[in-house]
Amino acid sequence: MAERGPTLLFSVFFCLLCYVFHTVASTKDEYSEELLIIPFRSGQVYSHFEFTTLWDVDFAQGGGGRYKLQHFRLFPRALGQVMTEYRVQEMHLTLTQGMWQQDKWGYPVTSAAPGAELWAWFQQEVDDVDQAWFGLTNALSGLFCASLNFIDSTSTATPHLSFRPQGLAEGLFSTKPSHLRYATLPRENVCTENLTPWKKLLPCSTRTGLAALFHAGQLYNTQYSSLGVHLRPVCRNDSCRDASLELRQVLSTVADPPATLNGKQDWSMKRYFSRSLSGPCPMAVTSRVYVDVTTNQTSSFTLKPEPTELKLTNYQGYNRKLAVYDLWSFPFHKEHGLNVDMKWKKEVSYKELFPPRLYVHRFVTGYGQEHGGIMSLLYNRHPYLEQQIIYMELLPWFTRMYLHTLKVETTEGNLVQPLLTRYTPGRDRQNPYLLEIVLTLPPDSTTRISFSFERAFLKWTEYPPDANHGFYISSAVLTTILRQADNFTVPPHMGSGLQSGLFHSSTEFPLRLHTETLLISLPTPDFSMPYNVICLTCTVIAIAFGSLHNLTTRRFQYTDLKKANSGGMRAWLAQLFGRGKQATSEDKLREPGKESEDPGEESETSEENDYIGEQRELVTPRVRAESDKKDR
Amino acid sequence: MGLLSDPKSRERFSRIAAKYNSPLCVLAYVVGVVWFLALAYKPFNHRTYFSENALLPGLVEGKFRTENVATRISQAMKDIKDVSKDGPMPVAWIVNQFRGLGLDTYTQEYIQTIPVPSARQSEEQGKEMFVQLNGTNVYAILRAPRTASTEAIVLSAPYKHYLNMDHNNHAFGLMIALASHFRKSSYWSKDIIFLLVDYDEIGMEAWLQEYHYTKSPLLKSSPLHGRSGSIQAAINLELHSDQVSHFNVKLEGLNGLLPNLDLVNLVVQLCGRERITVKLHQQRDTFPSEGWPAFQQNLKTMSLMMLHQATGMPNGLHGLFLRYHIEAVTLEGVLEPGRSTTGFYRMGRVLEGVFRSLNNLLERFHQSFFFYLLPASDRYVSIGMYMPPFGLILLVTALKISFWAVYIGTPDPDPWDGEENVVIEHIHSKKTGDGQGDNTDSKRGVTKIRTQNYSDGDVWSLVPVVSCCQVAGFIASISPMVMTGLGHLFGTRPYQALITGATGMFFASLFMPKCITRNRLACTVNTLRLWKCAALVLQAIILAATAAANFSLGMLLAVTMVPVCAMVRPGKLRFLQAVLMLLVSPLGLLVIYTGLYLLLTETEYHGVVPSAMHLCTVVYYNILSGVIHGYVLGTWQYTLLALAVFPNWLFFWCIVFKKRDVPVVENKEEKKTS
Repeated sequence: MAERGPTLLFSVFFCLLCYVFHTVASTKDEYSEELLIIPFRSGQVYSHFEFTTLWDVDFAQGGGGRYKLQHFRLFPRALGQVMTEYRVQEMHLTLTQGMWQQDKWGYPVTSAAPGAELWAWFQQEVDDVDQAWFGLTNALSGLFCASLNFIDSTSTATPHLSFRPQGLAEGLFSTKPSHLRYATLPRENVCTENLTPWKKLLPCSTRTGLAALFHAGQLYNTQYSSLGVHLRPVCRNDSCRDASLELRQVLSTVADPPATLNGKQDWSMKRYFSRSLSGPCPMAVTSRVYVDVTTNQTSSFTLKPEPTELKLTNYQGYNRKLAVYDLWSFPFHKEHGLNVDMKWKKEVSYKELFPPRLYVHRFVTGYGQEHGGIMSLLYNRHPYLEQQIIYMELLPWFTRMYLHTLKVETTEGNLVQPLLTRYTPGRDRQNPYLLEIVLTLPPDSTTRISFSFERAFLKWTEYPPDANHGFYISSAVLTTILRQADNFTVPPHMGSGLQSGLFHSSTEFPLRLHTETLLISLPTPDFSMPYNVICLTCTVIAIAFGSLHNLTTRRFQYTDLKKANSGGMRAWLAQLFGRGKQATSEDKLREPGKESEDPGEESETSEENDYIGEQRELVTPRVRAESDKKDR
Repeated sequence: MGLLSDPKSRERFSRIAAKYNSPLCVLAYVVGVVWFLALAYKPFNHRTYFSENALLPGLVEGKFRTENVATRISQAMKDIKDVSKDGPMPVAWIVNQFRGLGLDTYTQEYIQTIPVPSARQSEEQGKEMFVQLNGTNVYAILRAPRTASTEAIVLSAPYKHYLNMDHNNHAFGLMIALASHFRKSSYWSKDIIFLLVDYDEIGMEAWLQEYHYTKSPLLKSSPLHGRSGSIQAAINLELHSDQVSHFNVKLEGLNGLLPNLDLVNLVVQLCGRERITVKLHQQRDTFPSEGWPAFQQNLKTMSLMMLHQATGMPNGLHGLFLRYHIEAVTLEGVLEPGRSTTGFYRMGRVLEGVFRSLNNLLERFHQSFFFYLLPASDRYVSIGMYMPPFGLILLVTALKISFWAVYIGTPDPDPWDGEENVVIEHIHSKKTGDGQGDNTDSKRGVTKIRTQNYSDGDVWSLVPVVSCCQVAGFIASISPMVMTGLGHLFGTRPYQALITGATGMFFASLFMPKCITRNRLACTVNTLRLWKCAALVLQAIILAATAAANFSLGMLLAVTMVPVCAMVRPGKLRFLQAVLMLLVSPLGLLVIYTGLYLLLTETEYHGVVPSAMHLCTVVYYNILSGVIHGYVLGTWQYTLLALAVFPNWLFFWCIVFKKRDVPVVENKEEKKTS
């Protein structure tokens, strides 16, 4: 027995171990990495990295049990634990530097607001959403080295219409936004300190695969650079009986080659990422580079090396030609790495811009430090299709929005009746102002949305450092579903990865656009001169207050000087002490009195004060008594 | 401290002020004026310094090397001009120049209505009654790579020069050269807007109004399709040739606004670094910076600045930015024959330095000074230094007020008409005989006997005269437009009608004292004193308020009006007083100061008659532009003069011609007593 005990224990343990491994193996996960390169007509080159991790774990619909992500393989553990802790259903975080220029570049694969933008849906079982939200922001703040911990109730909102769940969600739950929180930090500066923790979440980190191209110095020396983390539950298969967890890590940059090179749009990985690809990430199921060569109809540029595949897609009459490099099939041993290189024959000839069908601009109107206004111009360039959109505006509390000034009209002056207006008024130092409007943009029109606001006067401790820099207003969000989408790569609605977005045959193109962030100046005190201000204020108060106090608190009444002076011990004392002065004052008083010898003559005490100022305390009560007597 | 609460010491103070009134007034005025003039002398002012450390001027190495672009473009534009012969701005060509650099280029078309009937009598009357200007502004935005277009800096240039309407092609060339240079760099943190303006001021105003979406009824403009964020600063560029001998830095903006002194310092400093001479109002800084000649020169520069500022009209396109709280200066490159010259290369380097410094700014310009006077490009007189002398000059008015206030209720110390005195005695004896007039003011220590007649001025008598003056002022403020409208009906030329409107009311109201005297207003000595007091109080308020908004205007008004108005009293030397008053009337002051300006700037002297003619022309144009700018750009100088200064002056004018209507008093008293 003594010998068999450990063996039995061991075998039991072994069986358990096997079971565990089995279960782990059954929660399948896969990882894919993709890169899309699009040379724009305006001369810039857009590169969009997309890293997708799919994990067949039913995170969302656990059925009341403990939500727990365990046994991480490809899914980043650091992020997974945070998601478990705060029971996050869906989470979208973007950190962006620069602004996406819609009228030049069309639409991005994933739109992002300048600065930081975070929105999350919490699971239905979460009771205290706000607490979970602040926990989440703090955790993410630490995870991504961003100042997300500055998100508080004054910048958090719950939009009803604009941010519906992007992944799987039960019907009723998705329409009630009580579990949604949205916040932006438009002032957030994004740089390498955010990139480093972000790329650590990748399975291969930056050692190999597409992520090896991330050279922070190059990535942030661009016109636009945005990184994002998007987490959502998706269907595991077509039947959609089970859910999987999808993690999209997105990084987009827009380089501007003609600015630095002599006017040509030449682009290569070596130049813009300062290295070439050495191979796919071994963990990745798919590892591909797509180059959009649609604009190369007249072979205006040459693409090297030869792509492994050329793909043609066609939807709604729009042809798209993609050169595909499959890193798994690319002969790395022959080529000494993959360096995608586009060389143009001629310099970029800048033409008039061809803005997309729908775009939006926003700006501050008015000047001065008391009132202001915000105006958005919504362009619908489609010749015959109306476009229904949701417009969301989130204003901080210190720009007090006047809803009665809200005006929606086309530039021709026709009023556009909003289909629905949701307005959540802000409260000072507590809530922001939230406005959501659903409206239909007439075809081929420009619609103006304008309203005015009042600039609040902050407390002096509420000003941020560099107070005279101004205050940011986060970008407005326009959400819509396009019915026609030329030149537009939609992030896959149900499928995962770029591939399904590039080669889809959908008829609906969900689109979200972010407008410009605005910088407004509030009335700002002069912080550099506190000493002067204190001195001046004190002086003014001393002068004004002293005199005014004296005037307003002194009581003026009539007294009889002679009587006051002629009776009682106190008066006598007073006379004794103030004799010299008294005499002169009496002389003065009598001199003009010659002409009117009326015994009942009265003079004001205020005049008297000077003459018998020293004895005033002694005399006054007595005098009062005397005069009272007299009145009776 | 007892001054407010203690009537005794207040009275003592005012008694002293009354006793030594005239010497005190003279002393205050002389000290004030001398002190103020002395501020131009080096030991009395300060050296300029940088208050905003973020500017870091000249810290970066200039890399501007595209001066050949500037030469090429400016030559190309000149060729176009030679072909088109003063045609409209070649919009398409300019757009192509900007777009060729890869900048976001936009145009703005506008129609500005100037509320002056067009000179040519159009057949279809009423349809095109007013002069209309159509123009097209072209602007291009260089998007800063690292920010979300939240801030911007503007480099602007007029298509044609401000005065001589010559083409500003060199500035455009330099602008394109700078744009192509700036485009290559990725360090910009603020968007840079390059703006070429048609019809200088009007075009600039149109662009700024549309950018900030502040609509005026006189302006119609196409919407801007591209915008950047809040504009932090602007530099306006005017070059008279491709080789310049110096930069003339222009500061004075709309309504006497000035750009932040830091921006001015920045420009001056960077010009110095590239060894380009800087002048203010074409006045060179003196080299031995102390001594009499230096003082004269500095005083001249400062006076020119004040004269410019007082007009309230911008002397460059930069002036219009200032209203929108955008700091801006104009750099005017001037070629003076016989001086060493500078080409595009160094001009470009100066501007590059300025823009890189502005790019460093973290905050809006808020430090340093917004209220200052510059006796030289590197010396300044701040508001704290120039306000005390101004206060001393206003003290004259204050002393006079207290003087007259003390004497209200006392008889005239030296009556100028014996007869009147007799009458007064007569009234007095009557009243004492009745035993009623014993409300004596014993506390003032006056031994003379006073009567009810003298006790106080008639406050209600102020109402008609003040309201008449104000109505006259109001009519003067609206009459230019009314007259041009009427003139249009009768077929007079619009500018003549406008001038008639502006000056007609002035001349008409010179006869106002006649009308007022006819009214049966009680006007004793004390009433006149009360009038004088009220007029002085009004004057002090108007001058102080004006000086707070536009110091130069306030100062120039105060220096001349205060002594004359303080001296004015009815009766004696009426003719001399009238002449003096006419000199300090708004029109007289305009003539005086225009003359002073011409004296300081014109080098040649042609003789009395031509000079006088020239002066008249300049005054004529000054009035015209004052009125028209008031409508188009929103300057308030004409309105201020018409609504505040002119009525006040008219009040004094009435006092000069006021007679004491003793018979009226007598009648009144007799009625009362009987």
